[in-house]
Amino acid sequence: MAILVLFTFTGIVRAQAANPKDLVKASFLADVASVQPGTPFKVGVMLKIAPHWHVYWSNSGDAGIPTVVHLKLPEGFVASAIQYPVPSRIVQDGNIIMYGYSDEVMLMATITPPSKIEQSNVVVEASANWLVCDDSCIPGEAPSLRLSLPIGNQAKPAQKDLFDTWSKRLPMSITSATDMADHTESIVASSTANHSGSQWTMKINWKEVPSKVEWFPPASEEIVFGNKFTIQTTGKTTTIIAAFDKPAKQNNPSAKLQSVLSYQTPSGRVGVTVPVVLTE
Amino acid sequence: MFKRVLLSFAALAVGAALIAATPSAPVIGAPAPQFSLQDQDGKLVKLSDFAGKIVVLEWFNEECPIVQRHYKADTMNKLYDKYKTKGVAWLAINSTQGKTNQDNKKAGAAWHIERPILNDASGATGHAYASTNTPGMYIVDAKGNLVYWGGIDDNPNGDKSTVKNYVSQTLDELLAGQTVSQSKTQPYGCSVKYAD
Repeated sequence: MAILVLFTFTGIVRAQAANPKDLVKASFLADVASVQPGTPFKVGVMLKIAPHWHVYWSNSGDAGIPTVVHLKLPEGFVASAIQYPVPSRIVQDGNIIMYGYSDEVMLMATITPPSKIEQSNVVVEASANWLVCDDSCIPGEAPSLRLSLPIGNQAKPAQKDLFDTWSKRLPMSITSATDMADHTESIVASSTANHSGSQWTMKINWKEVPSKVEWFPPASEEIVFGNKFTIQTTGKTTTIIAAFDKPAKQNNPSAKLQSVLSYQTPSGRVGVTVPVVLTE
Repeated sequence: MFKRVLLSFAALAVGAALIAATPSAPVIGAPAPQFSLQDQDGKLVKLSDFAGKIVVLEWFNEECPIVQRHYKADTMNKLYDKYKTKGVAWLAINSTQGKTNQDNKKAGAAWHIERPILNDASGATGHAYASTNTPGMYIVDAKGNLVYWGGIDDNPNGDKSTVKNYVSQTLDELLAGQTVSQSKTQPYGCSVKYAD
């Protein structure tokens, strides 16, 4: 039976004070002015966000919608996963905990061109979509971002300062986190499960306790972390205890998930990717 | 260099320490919090009115564009039409501050919602359920226990070609007498706009 639903906005949506188009402005940038075959380069989708509004991280938290970028590459080009800068915690009504960005954020990827390129010019396309919120929320998208890059026998750098700044805001992988090694004695993580549920515990033993230690859990369709985990520093140890849920039939949750740990040092905010390993 | 990174999994078969849920959050497998709220016609509706039935609770806010996206796609109405014939009850709950029965009645009429939309403008029931997002879904089994809490599906950005609807997955399992396979899933949508 076909049901004709007359869908109407009349009387339901109040006129938005802000023009949705002004809330997020998207641009697409590369850190090279020309592409050298075989030499990786970076691209970034920069989102400039109106004051008081925010967009979300790859795990939006208790609400929100992850900001997503899709790349469309020329033949033979390969891109890394989209890289998200360390987010901030956004707390609403005291109880709703979300993760995201205000002011501006650049989501990046590393693109590796093939070693032989026939054309003299390549086009990289991107689309981004997001939910931008303050007290209300407005979905938005930039569906047709485009970069046209000449092929050259060297990769000429472009916008180096911008990409340097934003690359520093990406969480470092744990094996290359030399900054973190300067600050920690050890990290011990384990997960446990009993009839009441599962939890993941991480203990960080610091050489010098930094300020503002924060942890951001990963999002996945199978492993669901609650956002009211405890994070407590006593003496020189920070303990994070995070409850999570997994599908009932899955006794071997082997998902390889990446969480983000961040903390404040004299030289700035440090972000580190901490794997959450839940294998038996 | 890194001194030591130790990642290990220890499964405790015999549960010694109970992992305590946050006091204000409902617990999967435990009785769902009771409530008594007015519907869009001012009639009092209680969870206990549906004792013995499976109940879907849908946190609702007609101003949320994600709720709008789902009503435009007829997600909730289609699901309700399918499962009401199997005895499943479905209540929408609006915990948005300042909303009145009239607002709910207007939204219900515009979107052909043939089920109660409960007025929780005070936020008391939302807080009892630790509800954070709209659309936010909970399912209570026929024994009155909370068995599902999370998003309506696995498609927050609305861009997946194959979508897993968690509500129909859970209802199918309950109706077949099976264990609920995914009791908690990633929530998404607008945050609930609670009264201060």
